[in-house]
Amino acid sequence: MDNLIHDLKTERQNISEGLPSAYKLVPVTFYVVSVATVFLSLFFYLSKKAYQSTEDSMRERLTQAQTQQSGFTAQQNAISQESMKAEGIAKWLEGSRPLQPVTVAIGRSMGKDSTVAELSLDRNPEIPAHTLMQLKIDGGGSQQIENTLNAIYALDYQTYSAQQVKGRNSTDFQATLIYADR
Amino acid sequence: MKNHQSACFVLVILITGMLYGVNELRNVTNEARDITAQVRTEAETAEQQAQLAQIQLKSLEAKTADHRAGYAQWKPHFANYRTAQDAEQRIAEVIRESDVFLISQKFETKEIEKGAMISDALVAHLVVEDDYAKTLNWLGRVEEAIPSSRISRCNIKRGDRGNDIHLELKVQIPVLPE
Repeated sequence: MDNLIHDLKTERQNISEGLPSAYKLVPVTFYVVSVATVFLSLFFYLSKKAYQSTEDSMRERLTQAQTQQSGFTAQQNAISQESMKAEGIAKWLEGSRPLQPVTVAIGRSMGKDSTVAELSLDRNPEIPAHTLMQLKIDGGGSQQIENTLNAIYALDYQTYSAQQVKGRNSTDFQATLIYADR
Repeated sequence: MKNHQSACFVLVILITGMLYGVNELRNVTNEARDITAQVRTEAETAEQQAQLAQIQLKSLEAKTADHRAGYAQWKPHFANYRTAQDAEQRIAEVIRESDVFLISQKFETKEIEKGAMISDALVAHLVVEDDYAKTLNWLGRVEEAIPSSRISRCNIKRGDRGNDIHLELKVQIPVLPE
């Protein structure tokens, strides 16, 4: 213990009393702590560097993921907006099916003794896909109405709330036409 | 104080200083570890959210594909009419091309549905009287030439002359400003 404690001292004549035995622990502790401090400092320094490096790469991943997410979200918003527009247009088109084929089919369905006196097709303002058909046929009777309805059914329309009023030589017919998407 | 006591005192101060320094370094390292763990958690959460957003995007794409395909197909037809004048001009062209006898025409701009995708439309009130086949062909031509149009009213009666028909039309043409 004496050698350990005095090893840093140059040879000289003792001018004071030796260190009391209890005090000898202090330099020993100093050596141990010094060595431990070097190793622990190195360990903690390297650990900190490693953590910082990991943190940098994690921040890079975080930024990348956030960029990706915002990109996906922006695309989702764009698609949602486009889809809303698409629904608006689809809704409009649903109530805009051409009526000319109906008028032609009705005209062509007329037999020898029948003529269309008046044909009116009015779309329901609330539900434009529903079209109120009012038809006045001169001559032909019920058979003619049946033929005309068959011609309309051939265009994939269905009739609802049909009403028929027979006159002396004419028939008034009205029904709501709804396109049946088959 | 004796010399050796002074020396021990200095050593104790140095020991305390070293222990304090090491402890500070340990604290800083622990703090760095905690921050790293926190950032790792945030990064993993963000990656999961990004994956979720990607899945939702694909799902949304698949779910709306038909709608959007239809929209892409129809958009140019609607884009042709940015103002009521565009629509009015097109109707006039169709009438001129088909050479039907036009009795009267009236145009007005009407609000169809407030806040809707298609909120405004040009409404054309047209009265035509001409040959049966010619008039019905013209009616088809209107619907073909302006696919976005909606005939909201169509009234056909006998015309004044032999094979003529009298046609009253109410045509709506949606106007979509840019």
